Amino acid sequence: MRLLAKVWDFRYSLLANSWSLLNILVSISAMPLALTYNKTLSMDVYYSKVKVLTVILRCSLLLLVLLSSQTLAAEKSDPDFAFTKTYHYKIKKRKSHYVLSSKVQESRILISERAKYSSNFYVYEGSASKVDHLSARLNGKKLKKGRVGFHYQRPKDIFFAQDKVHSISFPTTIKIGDSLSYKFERKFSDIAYLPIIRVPNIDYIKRFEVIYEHPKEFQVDFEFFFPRDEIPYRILREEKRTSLIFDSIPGELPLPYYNYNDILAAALVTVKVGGVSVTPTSVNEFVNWYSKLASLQPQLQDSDKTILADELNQVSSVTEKLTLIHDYVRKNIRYIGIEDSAHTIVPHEPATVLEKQYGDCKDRACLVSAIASEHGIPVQMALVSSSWYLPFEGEHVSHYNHMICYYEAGDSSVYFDPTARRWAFETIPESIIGAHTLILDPKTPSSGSLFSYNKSISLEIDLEAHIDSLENSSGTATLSNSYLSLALYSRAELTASEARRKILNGIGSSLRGVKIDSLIFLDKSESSMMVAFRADLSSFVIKTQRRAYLPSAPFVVVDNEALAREDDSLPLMFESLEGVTLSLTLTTPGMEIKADSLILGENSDTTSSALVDYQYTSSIRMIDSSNVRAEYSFTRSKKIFSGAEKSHFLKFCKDYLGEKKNMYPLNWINK
Amino acid sequence: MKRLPLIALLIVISSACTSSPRLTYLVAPEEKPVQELNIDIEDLEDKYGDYDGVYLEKEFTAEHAGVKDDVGKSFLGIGNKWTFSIVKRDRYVILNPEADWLTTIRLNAKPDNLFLQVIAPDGTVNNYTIADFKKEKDDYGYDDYAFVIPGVVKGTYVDFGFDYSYNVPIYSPPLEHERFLQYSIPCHKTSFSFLYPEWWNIEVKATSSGVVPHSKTILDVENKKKSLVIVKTDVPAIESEPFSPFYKEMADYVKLRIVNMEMKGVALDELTSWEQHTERFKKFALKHSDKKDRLVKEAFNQIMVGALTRRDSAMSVLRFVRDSIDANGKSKQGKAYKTLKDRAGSPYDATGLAQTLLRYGNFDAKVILVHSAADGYFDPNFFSGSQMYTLALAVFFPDDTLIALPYVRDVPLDYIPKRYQGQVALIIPDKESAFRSFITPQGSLLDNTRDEAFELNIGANGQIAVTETKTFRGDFAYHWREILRLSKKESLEKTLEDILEYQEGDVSLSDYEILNGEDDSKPLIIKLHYTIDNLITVTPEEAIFNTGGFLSPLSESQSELEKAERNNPIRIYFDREYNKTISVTFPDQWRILTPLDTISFENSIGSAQRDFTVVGSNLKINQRLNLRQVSLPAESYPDLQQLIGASSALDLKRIVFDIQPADAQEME
Repeated sequence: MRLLAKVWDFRYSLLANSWSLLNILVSISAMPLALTYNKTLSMDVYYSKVKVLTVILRCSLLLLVLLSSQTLAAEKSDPDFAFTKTYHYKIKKRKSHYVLSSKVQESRILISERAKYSSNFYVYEGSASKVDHLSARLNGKKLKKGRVGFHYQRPKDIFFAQDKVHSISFPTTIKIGDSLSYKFERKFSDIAYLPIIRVPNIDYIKRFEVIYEHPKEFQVDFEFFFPRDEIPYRILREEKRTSLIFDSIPGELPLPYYNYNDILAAALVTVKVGGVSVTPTSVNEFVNWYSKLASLQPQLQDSDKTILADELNQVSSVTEKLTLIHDYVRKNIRYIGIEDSAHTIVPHEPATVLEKQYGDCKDRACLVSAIASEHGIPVQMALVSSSWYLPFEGEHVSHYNHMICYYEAGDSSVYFDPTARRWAFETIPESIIGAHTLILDPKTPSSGSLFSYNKSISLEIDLEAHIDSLENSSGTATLSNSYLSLALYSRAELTASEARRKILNGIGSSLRGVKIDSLIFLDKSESSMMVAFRADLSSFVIKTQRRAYLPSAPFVVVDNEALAREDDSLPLMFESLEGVTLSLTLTTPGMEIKADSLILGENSDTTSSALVDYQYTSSIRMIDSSNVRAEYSFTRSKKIFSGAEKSHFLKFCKDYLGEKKNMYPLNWINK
Repeated sequence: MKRLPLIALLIVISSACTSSPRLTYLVAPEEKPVQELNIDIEDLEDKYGDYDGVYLEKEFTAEHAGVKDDVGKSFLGIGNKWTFSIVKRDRYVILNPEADWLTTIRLNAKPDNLFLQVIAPDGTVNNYTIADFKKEKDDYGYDDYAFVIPGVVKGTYVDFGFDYSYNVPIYSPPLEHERFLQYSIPCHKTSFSFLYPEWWNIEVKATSSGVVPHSKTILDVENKKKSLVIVKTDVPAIESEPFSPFYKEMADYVKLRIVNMEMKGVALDELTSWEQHTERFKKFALKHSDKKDRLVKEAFNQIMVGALTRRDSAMSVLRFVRDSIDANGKSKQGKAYKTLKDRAGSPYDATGLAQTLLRYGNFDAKVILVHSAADGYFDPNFFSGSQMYTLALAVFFPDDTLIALPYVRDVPLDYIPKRYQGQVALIIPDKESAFRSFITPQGSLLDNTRDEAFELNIGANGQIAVTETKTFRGDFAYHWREILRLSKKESLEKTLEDILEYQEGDVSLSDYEILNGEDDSKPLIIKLHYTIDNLITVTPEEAIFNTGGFLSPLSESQSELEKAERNNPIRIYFDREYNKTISVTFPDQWRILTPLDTISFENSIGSAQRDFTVVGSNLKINQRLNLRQVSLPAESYPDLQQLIGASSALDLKRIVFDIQPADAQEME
């Protein structure tokens, strides 16, 4: 039902915007309007604004329906359109630098009725790649000016940003057989921004061609990544031109728990002259390039050197000092990005951040590094790819979208993220655990993946109940990791009732048959929070005329979507970890239960206490003559499961789902 | 030297003019010790800790100033100035430093004057000016001014004000003003002042039947100025809650219009009736020409081919316009033949074309304007286009009225969004008929009914084979047809799995059928065949069937109704009915142990019924839930929860079966 609700919301939004559109049109022609107080915008302008919003919402709906609905076993339908795209790059050498520009042309011929609903297209413009001369044609005839527009992309917490989204809106009356095309030019500020080639996983690619026009001494090479099977391609090399061509490529169905659904191929492009790379591709080349844009060893200015000085002098260990610095930055510096052209990828000076008391991830990481440096602790800034990383050998600026901190001394090292306001030192947000990192150490840069110190259990639930009043049970929960983050966020950002509801939903949604309410906050530390609540277990403990039953698998943690991935050879990718325990003390006078236990998953035949990637355990026993204790635990790490490991994991999922129909019976002693 | 006579003339004219000078300007706060502000942060947090902040005071003043040209028209209007100005001041305390909307300021024009005073809880005072704001271009090339308040912590006090004025262009004077007086955070005091020349007249819109916001009007004789002032204190915050009325049906606001004015040699051509308003629209939508509309008549005849009933014919015309005319095109000024020829025009043109086509079939079809409930109460005496601007087409049949929006491509022809149901509509007059108003129909119960039928066959191993038939009409059918239209076959199966009623169990969809998917004149029927695993626990003596939500009354709304308290009134805009028929066939050895009680109750919001019949190994359940069109105070919330909340009596969580040994059955 969730999907439906989402679609409904979207539809209402669309409808509302249709009305707005009309309202504006009506307004232009006919009536004196209530004026906006701040500025008399021309109504044409307002019309365009509404239109942009409308097309974005329409596109979102389409994406929602098409992408969120992943198919499991169906045959592919005929394509909706034939897609052709050409990138034509020109690389020129100037005295001391290289000039990069491109011409891009995309066209699609509509084949099905459904394709008519994709009549809006977008072109992104970042501060390092300016877009110019955007025009569009329908069946060869140029679209009128009003159908090509743009808006600035201004996310809520990025305050000043130069990023633009250009939009092309074809008439809604397009029909099967129509040819929709648009083209534009792009100028890049640096050859380092030469884009990674991404062959989209769309309906049907008739032709996808990338041409590099370059001086004859240049060599263009490609490092490929194919998320599915390798697709055929051709590389044509001429004296001053290198081309990469893909022809007649059908789309692939999206798969659940797979993060490369949006592309069929990717290629990292390296440009070399005389064997020397001019695109910063190796770790050293990349860090060297970045060090020319930003200081990798930031320093505090003299007037700021007293920041935290007293506090830091009172503690002796590096861990204590780093904890203080981390806490100061994460708790006091508001998250607001000022991404004007110079600062899209370059942090602001620590002095600026301290003065304003706000900044984005790179500003914070840079500030932490500067404060630590002032106290003799070499903390490095580290780039992070928080979305799924394209597994190339080479580096590229577009790989990274986050910056954190890294400290290493001898054998010990630690990553910490001062942007994660609600994550204490030595804990890492689950979203970046395992992410690819690039440590910006100017002397010994290195890349790796982000390890975690988080507790394996994020939610520990304790319930107490009496068999005769299951509706009036009670419980506590200890929240860690993402549950703690959710709770801290909710308490800080939401109204008290909304916060309680959000936390209750978070806890309750992990359990089958348990309804909880009346939340109160009990205790809080840096790494956990304890809450208490009232619980209704009348659907959890099932009472019949003969006996009562306790569930064998009470957690809502595995869905059968993963099982649909049994037959393919691609890995299963989980973006979050699961770690939940439940302990129930049930008072059952006059009843008894036979002790029983179950272990599924890794180490199921050992008593090893080592961390496991996935495991489910349950046990039930009488703890005295009238009390039963049931204990359950489920863990699954954030992990990519492939090959045999994937098969074992899927068997584990199947076994767990099968347990849902099993129960532990409690019998009356005297019946 | 040649200019001197002209200047002299202007001086003479000006000196003879009646003027109402500008009186309101920004007044910067006095520098005074923080203690005198009397801000008790702890107390504010205790009271308002749930919110991002609290307004201590919000002040907004709008003023018209200038010279009435009452000695004859001035020379080209030169020398007279009509200015419109606003003065705004907000004083607030930030309780959530992460709330960007309170800690950042963005202005989309450069103010004449501005002050920004920020006081930290420790008493540190920082003052900022427009020079501290960063200028950037907006999407349309205008200058924006933006500022991120530095050093914000919980308890930071912000005092922000600016004034802004401009010379009023006579071609688009600001003659209507609206201001909210209630916000998403609490407000200790809010005031709205509107100053205007004493020779003008204004009207204030009623915000509900007979209720005009309480205000006082002050006359400043010396300056020939009238001031309308509204002050509200202790204004609670407004929150979003399900089944609420539209925002402007709940929140306090003031809306006024100038009905009589003269300034700068310009007199207002104000609306004095709704008929006049519709006349203004007419020229954009309806320009009939029997000679030139020949093409339209031919098109009508072609469209009619195959239509069986009058309603079918009308729908064919509307469908033709909706699907063939690009209503985002350039205006054709109501010329139907041009719109038809170019297959493009404005929404007026598309609606006008539909009406012109229908005229050739002698339909009683009218272009209309409909009020939107989202604009709050319709005040019949407040003649303003802002109350009545949505264009539609009404086709009157002897026992039915069809309201359609033929210029909105993705909306079914007979679908009326709830904001336009039961609202006042005005007919734009044409040759055949005069102006009149009417009330648009409510969504009929027939059109807003969802029927679901389930046939469950439970095997001895606990696996369930299900055939589920969903019948959608009206609102429901519209949304589902949208999904069907946008989904490819391979993605549709997953979408359908997502809407199955079962919240638990492992569902495997084996087949589905869709009936009337393209024909929106009939109910949409989706038939799903699937199996469910792991929903039934089978022990040697008992079987426990976790119904997994399929017997819940209205599962998609439950989570929203878990909240214990309710602030907003309850509004359901039209009657809805949900019917479920469930047939459960179970193994012969099983007997139902769970007491199955018949349920029947009715409350202020609707009614619910459920009854059971057991014949042999078959259980039949009939469940009906009605939600009525209601407008009730927040106190009725428990009734809503009783019907569709998580604790609804209709929500049967499980059915327990007794399993009789095979030999025992033989003994029977």
